[in-house]
Amino acid sequence: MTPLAALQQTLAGEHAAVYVYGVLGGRVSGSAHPSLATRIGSAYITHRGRRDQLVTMVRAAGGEPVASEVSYRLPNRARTSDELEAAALVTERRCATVYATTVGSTSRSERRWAIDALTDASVRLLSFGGSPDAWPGADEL
Amino acid sequence: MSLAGCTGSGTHRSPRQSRRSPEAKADPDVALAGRALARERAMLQQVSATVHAHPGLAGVLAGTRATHRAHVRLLAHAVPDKQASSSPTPTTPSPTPTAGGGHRPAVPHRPGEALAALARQEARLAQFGRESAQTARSGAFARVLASAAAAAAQQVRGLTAAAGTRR
Repeated sequence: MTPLAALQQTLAGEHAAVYVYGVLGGRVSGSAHPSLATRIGSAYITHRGRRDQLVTMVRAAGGEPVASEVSYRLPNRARTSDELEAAALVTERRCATVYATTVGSTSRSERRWAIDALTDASVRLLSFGGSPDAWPGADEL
Repeated sequence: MSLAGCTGSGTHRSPRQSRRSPEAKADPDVALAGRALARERAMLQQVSATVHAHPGLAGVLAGTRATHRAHVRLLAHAVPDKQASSSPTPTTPSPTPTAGGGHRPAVPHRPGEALAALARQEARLAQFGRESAQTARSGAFARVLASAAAAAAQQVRGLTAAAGTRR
């Protein structure tokens, strides 16, 4: 995979993550589940920031940033607090996989960006009920 | 699994693949893998020493131990045997002699402090992994190192939390 293709794939993933977290943020009750609401809100801000960074990185690499889809399928029903948390966990795991691929397909500042994003997603998924594992983002290892 | 199996692109070579080539001896990724292996082994030794000193932490540290065993297992495939055995192991403070003649890393007397010490060592390992992933020539190997670094970062969080409950 070329560096530009990897960045575009990562941007597509961020579009999806921003959409999912936007929906989750709209459904979580800040009064009933303040901690979960904070964690989802933080994740939304992080992924929105990464999306914007990737748009810049894709343009710098000479590409036209891939556009967002109109909507995305949620990882689950996303109705109860448990489902909201589980959806967030799935989203972080998917992002970690994409970031790991990007690490392997880029170099210099783009790779640095992906390494940092992979670490962040790997730790963040723990806050959504995930468990530590030996190879975050690279399950086949 | 060998590193050759994690190649995501035909343009990337793993250290193990690279050392078969004529320029094998000069491949910096093999040396990098050797250093990563030495650090992972040192981490594993520290975890084992902590469990030896504090048997009650065996359950808490089971996942940590499994993680680093997995890292050692994979990295060992990437490093020539001679280099793997000669790679310098990062020193730990005041190692104590063992009955078998080897040296066991020093472990704090209080369980909470022992876990905190492990968390600090994991943090250093994570930093080393991120820097190594940045400099690896092979993209596939960079991915391996970045993932191992992310796993260490996960351990930092878990160990820090566990240490906090034992103070």
